[in-house]
Amino acid sequence: MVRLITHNLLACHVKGCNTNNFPLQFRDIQIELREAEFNPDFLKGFMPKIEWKALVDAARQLGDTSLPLEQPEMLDDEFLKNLHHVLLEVKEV
Amino acid sequence: MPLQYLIVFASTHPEFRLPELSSVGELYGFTVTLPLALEDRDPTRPYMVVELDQEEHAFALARRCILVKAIYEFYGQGSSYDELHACTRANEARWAHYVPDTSFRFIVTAHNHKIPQSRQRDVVESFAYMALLGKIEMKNPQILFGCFEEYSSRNGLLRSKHEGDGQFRQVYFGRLLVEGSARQLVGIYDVKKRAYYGNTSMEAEISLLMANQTLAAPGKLIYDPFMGTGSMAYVTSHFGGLVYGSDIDGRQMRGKGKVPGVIRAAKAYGTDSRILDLCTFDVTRNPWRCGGLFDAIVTDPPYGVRAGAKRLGRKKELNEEQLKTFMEYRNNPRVDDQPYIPPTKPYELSHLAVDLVLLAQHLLRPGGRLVFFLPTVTDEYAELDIQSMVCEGMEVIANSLQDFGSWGRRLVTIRKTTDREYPRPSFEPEQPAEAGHVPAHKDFREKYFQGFKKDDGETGGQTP
Ligand SMILES: C[S@@+](CC[C@H](N)C(=O)[O-])C[C@H]1O[C@@H](n2cnc3c(N)ncnc32)[C@H](O)[C@@H]1O
Repeated sequence: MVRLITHNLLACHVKGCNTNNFPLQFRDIQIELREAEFNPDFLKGFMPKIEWKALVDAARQLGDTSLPLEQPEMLDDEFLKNLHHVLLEVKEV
Repeated sequence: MPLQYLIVFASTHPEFRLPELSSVGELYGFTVTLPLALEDRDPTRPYMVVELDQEEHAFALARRCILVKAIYEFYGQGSSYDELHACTRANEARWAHYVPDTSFRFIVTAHNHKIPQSRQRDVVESFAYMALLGKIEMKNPQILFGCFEEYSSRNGLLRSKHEGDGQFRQVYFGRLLVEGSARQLVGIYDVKKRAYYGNTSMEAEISLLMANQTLAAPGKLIYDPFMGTGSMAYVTSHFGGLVYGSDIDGRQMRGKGKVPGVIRAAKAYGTDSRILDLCTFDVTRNPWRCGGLFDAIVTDPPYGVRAGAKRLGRKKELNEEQLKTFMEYRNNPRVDDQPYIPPTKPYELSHLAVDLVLLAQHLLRPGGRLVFFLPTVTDEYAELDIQSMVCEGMEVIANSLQDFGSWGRRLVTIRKTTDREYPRPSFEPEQPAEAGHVPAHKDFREKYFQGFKKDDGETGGQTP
């Protein structure tokens, strides 16, 4: 039961788990929404750390299609708001 | 020209004062210039005159520093009133504009001493040359002048009430600019008033000092790998940080009840939206996907007295038969089975400390900070204890002792100074003791329970 930011940051390092160690698979697909403060500077600083495909896939599995398949070059407000919502406000339960 | 300010410190935690000033300065992007003479920058003294580029910086320090009681615009100091007045006259430009019609009041007070009323009046009168024309207003003066006499501590010595009056070490004079407003947080974050706490919770004042060492601010990502009941999370999220916590024992973070204890407590403080997630794992087997993630790692590592350090693994490896049974249970858990509780083995403190710095080297962003406590045996401590845990790209920037007598704990702040990336530490099982340096915190737990006995059989002082 974690936020998608966490889902994007955790991998399995157990020996012998090298093939499919990221991203961790969801067991049931259920979500919960939590509110978080919007901080564009945090998001911009954090973008290089995101495994983008894993994030987009995870969001789509949970029914959120607001993010583009490729990380955009132009970080407009609408994009940052969507990213904020997906990373910090969607929790898979 | 830089401006001079007189800082009146709160009486607690002297060794934490200067690190806090420079951290808060760094956080807001200014420098706090300390006096040149070593004795004037002695952090155990209650007053200090510092230089700042702008008045606004003094306000920032007063808003954020837990150990700042008040900040005065500095007018004069001396080892006698003659010196003090000469200095104050020389600085007339600083106070001349208050002469014509500003209402004012004087306070005359002392550290480690009580000045008799009659002499307080004499002191006020000795400032007559300022020729202040404004009204004296006891209740709501427009400005407040403060005169502070500093006496050396005469701890334990009995003396009559006003004995030694006037024999101060130094006297300071200035105008009150701002009272420290961060100190009230010590009451707000009082552990006993918290919705969730436990016997490992860290006292509020120290937690807040730790938070300031992390440079916590909105949008900073902060991690406590030994989260326990979350003391570091509340204060860092108070300052805007986004917090991750993990612990080998999830019950420490959850407590009883449906909503995890740490979240309940954070909710009461209004910062639960900044607690990103709480994860249960052994830090030596941590699942972070990559490094360079956090702006700060702040933690009170388990040092074995109240909450022993453990790590997954067994003291002795299983024999073949045990291993077979174990795998069988593991592969075919019964439906009604209790959750699997993995075996743990002890984790020696000096080993843990080295691992923690390596972990921070990997997980911190360039410029990020590791802030943690290290318990140590006072008589055996050597500077090298800390230096020997540091690895490439990591620099100790503060090291403050909280003294409990025969033992103490040091709040260590380490900065990652490079933008190089480092691999995940291996957390290799303890190597046989090397011939190298043996720090005083090695086997702290054993030493603690032996009462820090030295070879001559002498026993140390207080217990925590
Ligand atoms: C001194 S307590 C931290 C207290 C915390 N600051 C608080 O406010 O309660 C140390 C914590 O480290 C945890 N711990 C011990 N060994 C660990 C390990 N190998 N990995 C992760 N956590 C561990 C313990 O369960 C304990 O909660």
